[in-house]
Amino acid sequence: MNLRFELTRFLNLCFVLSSAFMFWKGLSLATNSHSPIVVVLSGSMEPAFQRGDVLFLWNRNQRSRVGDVVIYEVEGKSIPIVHRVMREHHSEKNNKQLLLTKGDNNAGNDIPLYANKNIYLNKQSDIVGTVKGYIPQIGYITIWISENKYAKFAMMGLLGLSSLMSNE
Amino acid sequence: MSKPINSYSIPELRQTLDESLPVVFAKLNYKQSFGLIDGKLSIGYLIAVVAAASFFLDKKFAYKEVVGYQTLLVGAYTILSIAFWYYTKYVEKGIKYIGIKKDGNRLYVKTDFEDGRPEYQVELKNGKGVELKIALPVNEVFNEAGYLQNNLFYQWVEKQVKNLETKKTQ
Repeated sequence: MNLRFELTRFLNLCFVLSSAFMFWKGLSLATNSHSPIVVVLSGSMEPAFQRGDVLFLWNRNQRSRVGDVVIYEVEGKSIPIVHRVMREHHSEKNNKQLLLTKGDNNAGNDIPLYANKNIYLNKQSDIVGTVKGYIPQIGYITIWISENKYAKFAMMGLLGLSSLMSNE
Repeated sequence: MSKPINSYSIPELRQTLDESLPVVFAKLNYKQSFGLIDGKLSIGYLIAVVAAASFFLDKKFAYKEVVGYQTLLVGAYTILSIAFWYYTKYVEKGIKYIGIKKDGNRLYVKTDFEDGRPEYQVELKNGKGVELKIALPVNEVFNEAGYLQNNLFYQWVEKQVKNLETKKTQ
């Protein structure tokens, strides 16, 4: 076989993988958020957001306002949480802002969730982004796949089949 | 003889025919020039390396530690992708094969398929700028089982190259 043809084919495969990743990376740099699109995993924000809603985030704002829906990550837990800002305290001198959040559908605020027995979140370090837009329900497929092992196998099977079937 | 293909699939037809061009032109005493394709491959693999570096940084480090490097890499990726697009569209322009004869005469071969038409569109051009556009219905060179009939394809190409040469003398 001709080496250059093989290299060209392999390059096409590289492009398929790299373009998806670099698009994601570009989006995360533009929004300044390491995860600019997230899927809602819990019902704690109902009726605003249901499980499976896809959220689009923006993290270039200096401060969050009371009423904003923000995504934050707690140290040591990798699952992002979508909740609303209830209270905020900020300093005019430096860029520091502390937030208290709560899920619309939860009885109490989030203090029990915060790491290191903190009673606040730090805007600069803990917030992944502020919700700027959403698409209802279409993210449910990812929940379905991650929570149902048969769905996972079915998805793998479909991907395998489609790669066998197509030649370009 | 090569593997049979699904001759109803344009991508498979395109691939098989394009890949047999060097063999056919080698029989016609052309030596392939790889300049264009090597240029394309080097830009392409540079893009792949940039993306791989970005992926590696993403896996190894936290987002905030490497934002600066990632910005550089994404910028490089964008610029290289535009360069790649420009190269394929305005430099390569669909040229699939460049052959050089011993007397230094060059031959450029562009090929394409129109959507949904099983005709191999071939454009031959020699070093003096003489052009010849022809279409080859694929059922003339593929049999029912999907094998490329190398001999028939060779004869067809040979005839077209001769036509190109006579066109020059007119």
